Amino acid sequence: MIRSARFARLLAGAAGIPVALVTSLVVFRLVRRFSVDMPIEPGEFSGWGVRWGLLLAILLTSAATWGERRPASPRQLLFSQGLAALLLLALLVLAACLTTTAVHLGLLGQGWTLSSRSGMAVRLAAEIGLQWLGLPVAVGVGLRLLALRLRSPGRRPPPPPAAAGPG
Amino acid sequence: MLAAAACLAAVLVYLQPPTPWLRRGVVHVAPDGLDAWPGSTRALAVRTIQRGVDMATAGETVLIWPGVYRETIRLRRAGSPGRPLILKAAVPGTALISGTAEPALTRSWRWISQGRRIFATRVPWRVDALRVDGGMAFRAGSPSLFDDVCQRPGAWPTFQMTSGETLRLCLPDGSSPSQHRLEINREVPARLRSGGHQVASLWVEAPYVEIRDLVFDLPVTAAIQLWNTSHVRIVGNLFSGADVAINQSSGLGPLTDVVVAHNLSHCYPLYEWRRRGWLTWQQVYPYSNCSLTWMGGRDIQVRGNIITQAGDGIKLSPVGGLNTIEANLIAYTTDDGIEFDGPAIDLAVRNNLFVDPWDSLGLSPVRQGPLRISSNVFLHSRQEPAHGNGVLLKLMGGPIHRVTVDHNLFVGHQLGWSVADSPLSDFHMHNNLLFTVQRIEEGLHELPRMGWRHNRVVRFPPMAWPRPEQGPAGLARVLGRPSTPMRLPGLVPLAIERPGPSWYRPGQEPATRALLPLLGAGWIAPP
Repeated sequence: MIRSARFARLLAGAAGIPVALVTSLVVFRLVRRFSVDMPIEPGEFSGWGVRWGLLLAILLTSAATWGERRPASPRQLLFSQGLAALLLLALLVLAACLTTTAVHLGLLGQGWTLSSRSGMAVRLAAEIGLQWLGLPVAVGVGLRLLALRLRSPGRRPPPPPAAAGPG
Repeated sequence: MLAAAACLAAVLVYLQPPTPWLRRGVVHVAPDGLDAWPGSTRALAVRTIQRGVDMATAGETVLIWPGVYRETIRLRRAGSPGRPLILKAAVPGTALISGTAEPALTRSWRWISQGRRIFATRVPWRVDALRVDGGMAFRAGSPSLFDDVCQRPGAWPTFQMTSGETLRLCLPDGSSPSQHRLEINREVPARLRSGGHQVASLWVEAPYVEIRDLVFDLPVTAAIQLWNTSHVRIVGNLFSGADVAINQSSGLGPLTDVVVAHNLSHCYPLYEWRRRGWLTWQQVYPYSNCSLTWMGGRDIQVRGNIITQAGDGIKLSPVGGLNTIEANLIAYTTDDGIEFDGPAIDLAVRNNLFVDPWDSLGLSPVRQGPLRISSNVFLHSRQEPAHGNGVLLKLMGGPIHRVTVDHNLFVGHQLGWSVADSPLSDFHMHNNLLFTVQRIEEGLHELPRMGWRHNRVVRFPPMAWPRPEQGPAGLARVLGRPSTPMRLPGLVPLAIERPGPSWYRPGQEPATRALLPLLGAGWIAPP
């Protein structure tokens, strides 16, 4: 029973990699249409997806199991992965809105000689956002998971007694 | 403890911090490397150039070992003043950054015969460039043109993309496609706007960068895109089949301080298609780029390069600073030798050797200047039919301001041709030696508005047209005094270093074989 729970948690933690890859694919799809002056190569964000996936998987699995408190359930772990992806996407959209507004207000991109300055603003927001928001989002969601565990009652169940040997 | 170590490792892998302390100033890249390795030695090389440039920091060299690298690279790590980031071949000329797809792809195609010489196959993406046994095939724009040129005598391999991603290929020798080595471009992002070049093999997006001794093979559209950069040195590279070798048409900031020196750029056999009478000028015109540079910017130097089998040899129109195009060999182009399409501020064009461009200088327009064109040798061969070719000056619309053309040697059909909407101001020609077939005013409506003094015009019959390969002696024969030395002391031979990459032997591939007699004809000599 304990072994299968551990295995399920491990699987849920490893789900961070596909979650991150899907996130990078979504960002690629969203940003591609705005990248008028500098097209995005297919798979340009997938390297970031693998790295962020590893980060999510390891940070969240650690947050789910670290300490003496009862480990988070695989469902909580999966929910945290999804939450991290959604939070990152929301922050990227916010960043894109802010940079686009900055371009329209003349605060950014005055020297750009491009056919679509707002499109480039969206792209820059996405690229810089992916690079710099991935870690705080992963850490933030990991801390939230840890905090939930610390607030919840119950300690880690003791390991099963070792089977008595002959004699 | 284990969890903390794993978390730390994951953070490091995610952030990819610079690790110069792992190396001695060199990041090794090799086809048999692994991107997880530190790149500190040849044995621990990383596999992709992208990984190498992501690891490197200011003052480091990314050393690329021989091999084919099918990558689009984004160079975003900057150097610093006195400590550039260098991208360099370990053995000059052996590291290929290729825009071609994996060879296994074309080998797997199933061809259907569509009649004499013609085959068709389904392809996974739009093919913009195709090579047959290393030679570029002509891209026909329509089915009718494809069928027409394919059946002509002396035809070269031709291809055409139909709707529905079907590729049609014409092999004039009647052989089967499976008997040849076919190469096509990799899949590239779809164009989201018209004009300009939006796809490149290497995007330079950081300042203080050097790119040396590499081969850019069949890049799709541009080889190097100067995007948001300055203080760039591009030296000793070979560009083969690039629509524009070094491009800067848009970006996030002004381009400043760029040196493009001793490179070789060609789109063989672009010039041969027309010269051998297979295609007309209009049919090769869609390839009118194939240029070494298409740049604006400030403080730009383009020197010591060979540009051959090209459309426009060089496109440069600086927006400020001090700029030079110097000591280049521009030979066998199907459009302008140099096109100045823009402000062309403070630009000096000197000591260049032009051989058989369609026309030598495309001044259309020069909006600001000053542009000084001095001490160059322009040599055109006899070409039939003569229609706008063989001229020194092409004035093709728009204002042309502050241009001086002095102390040049020109051999051609006529001095220039112009359209009505080419207003000149402050345009001076002096001390030039001009050998022409036609009268000097022929086709050049603007001649009365030029400042004109101390130019010597020698008219000669078409039958006496000296070939560039004959060297200065051929010109002396036109003058009728074979033993008399040239009358432009200090101009011929041009005292310039041998153009092109130092590691490249002209004639080592078909694209440069025609240059051998030119280089030995006495037009240029080491200083």
